[in-house]
Amino acid sequence: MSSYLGRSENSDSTHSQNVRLKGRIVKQKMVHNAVAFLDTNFNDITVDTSEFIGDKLLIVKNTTGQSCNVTLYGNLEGSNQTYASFGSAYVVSGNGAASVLGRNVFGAALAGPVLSITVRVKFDTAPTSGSVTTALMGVEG
Amino acid sequence: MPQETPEAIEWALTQSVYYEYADIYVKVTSNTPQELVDKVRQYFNEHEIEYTSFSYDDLKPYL
Repeated sequence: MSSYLGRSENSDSTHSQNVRLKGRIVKQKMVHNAVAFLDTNFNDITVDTSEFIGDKLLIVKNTTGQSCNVTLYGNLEGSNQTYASFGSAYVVSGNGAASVLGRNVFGAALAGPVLSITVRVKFDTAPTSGSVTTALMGVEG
Repeated sequence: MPQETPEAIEWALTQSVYYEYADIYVKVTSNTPQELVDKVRQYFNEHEIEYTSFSYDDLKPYL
C-alpha cells in the first residue's frame, strides 16, 4: 500500500520544471593566524586574492595591549616595483576588539580586482603579551 | 617552540579570556586560536620561559 510513497507518478519530462539554484560562496583566508609578536619588525604575509570578486573585508583582532599599524600592499606583475601601497597605515588598538576594514579604509585593494595582497603588521612598541589575527573575507567568483 | 609547550597548552585549555570592551568571557579551546595563543604566551611569561614569535600554526602539532 505504501509502495508509491516518495515517488512521482508522473514520469513525463514535459511536466518537469527547470530549477536554477543561485548562491555565492563567502570565503575566509587567514593571513596572520594568531601571531604572538615580540618585536617591532615588519611582518608581511601575502595571500592570493585572484579568486575573489567584488569587495573584500580585512578583519584584524589585536589582543596585545599595544596599537599596531596595518598596511596593505599589492604585487605588480611585470613591474620593477615589488610593492604598491594601498593607502597609509591603519592603526588598530590592542584591546581585543575586532576591526572590520573595507574599501573606505584601503580603497582599491579591497574594492577592485587584485591578484594578491600583502598584509603588513608592525608595532611601534614591542608587545609583551597577546597576539594579532588578520583575515581576508570575500566572495569567490 | 619551548619544551614546556605541552604543559602550557594543557594549562591554557583550562582558562577563560575576559574581553573588557564587550564584558564577555571566552573559554579557551583548541578552536579558539587567538585565546589559546594568548594564554600559552601568558604561561611562558609567568614561568619565565624564553620563546620567540609563534602563532597558532606552531601550536597545532601539540593539539
